[in-house]
Amino acid sequence: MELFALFISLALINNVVLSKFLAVCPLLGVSKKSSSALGMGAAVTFVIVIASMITHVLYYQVLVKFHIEYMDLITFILVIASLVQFVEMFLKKVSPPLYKALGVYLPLITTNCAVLGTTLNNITDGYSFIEATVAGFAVSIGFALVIYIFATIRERLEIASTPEGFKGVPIALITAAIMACAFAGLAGLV
Amino acid sequence: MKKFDIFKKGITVENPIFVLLLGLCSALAITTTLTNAIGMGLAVTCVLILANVIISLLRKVIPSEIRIPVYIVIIATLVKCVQLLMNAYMISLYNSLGVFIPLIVVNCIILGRAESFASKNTVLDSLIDALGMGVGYTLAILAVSFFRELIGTGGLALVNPFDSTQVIFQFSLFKEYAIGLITQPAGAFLTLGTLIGVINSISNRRIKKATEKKAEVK
Amino acid sequence: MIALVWLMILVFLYIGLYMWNKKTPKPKGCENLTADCDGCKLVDCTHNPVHHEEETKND
Repeated sequence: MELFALFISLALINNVVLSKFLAVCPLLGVSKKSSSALGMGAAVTFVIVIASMITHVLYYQVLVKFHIEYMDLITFILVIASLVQFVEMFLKKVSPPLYKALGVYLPLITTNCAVLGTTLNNITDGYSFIEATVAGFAVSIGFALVIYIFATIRERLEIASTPEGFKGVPIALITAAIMACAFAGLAGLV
Repeated sequence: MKKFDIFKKGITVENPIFVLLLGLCSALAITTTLTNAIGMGLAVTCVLILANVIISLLRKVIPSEIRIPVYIVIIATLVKCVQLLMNAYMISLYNSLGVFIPLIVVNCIILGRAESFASKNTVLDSLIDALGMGVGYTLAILAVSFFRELIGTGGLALVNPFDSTQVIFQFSLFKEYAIGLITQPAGAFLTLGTLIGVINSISNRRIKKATEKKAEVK
Repeated sequence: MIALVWLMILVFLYIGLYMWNKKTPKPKGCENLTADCDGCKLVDCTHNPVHHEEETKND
């Protein structure tokens, strides 16, 4: 039950994009079409869950054991970057259709701050292994949900008449503001 | 003159926040107070200058095939150094910026400048470019936090980033009429979106006028 | 000392995987597949749609 509360709180109430401001760049960049938003969401989910598990194990089994906790940032970014390369290579070799659907979004994930931010938060919040995995899953589901809703709104926004200077990113940010208001309404859920 | 142009373009025509739209995550998150904005601006400028200089020094040594991994290692090391220094000398700022200090690693401003400027230019030019970009970033987040703090709390305050007990200035103008929403996440998106939109509109109008003038001269 | 060894392991792991991935050919039908990301206006980023236009212009 506690895990469920953690899931709801991270996926909806403290949403990674709308209340923690992580992964705003991919939200603005890959939300022109709802199909690409879904692909990005799935790729991010895959990477965040695996990265949460690996970095959690490495932090407690290697860094803490050898008293080199100050290497956390360098370890995490290198693990995430290696993981992205590995997953891309693995998909190329094993499953071309899956590569076609998700592979193109993988290189964009290395510099996605949601991945690094979530793995770092897992450590600072003192989550156990199971909690860290659930947290990673919850964060990425929250991201996928928001980017998909956002993409469907932006598809409509393309044909709306917007002032010249506000076209593109400015109006997208204002749309995100309204979505943040809506998500803030979920605060009493847990 | 040319050196000054490199410096100037980071603040105006290639402003990382308002024009290039880089590093919006931190610009949205930490712009609740002027003090936070100054601290973040300092941290990013430090990392940017060091990364640009080091990468520019090593630009002939780094094999171009693996340059991105090398950049990431260099930047991550620098960010960790800055993080540890801030933890030692600016503890209150370190706590309020939180996860956004380590996240400078994945801030596209630094990787972007390394890739598009430092890897092709001399050390001095890269240093000037980093300074310009850093100042441009700092001014941009200061502008965002100025509006957010003023509208959201009805006043402005600035605290010495190295010593949280030393208040530089503090005043309150219209506390009863403050709109609390602006300090919330939604307000961050709203303020930044409006600012970028207004700046776009102004620069569009300028470009239009300039082209009309040219046409008249012809 | 341990930190240096650990850093070396990670760096070589990353560079090894990076090269391995680069050398693995893309499967059929995906050769020209690129994700267009227009979140920022950095033209040097390989994901920026403008980058590809300039590349094809130069060719």
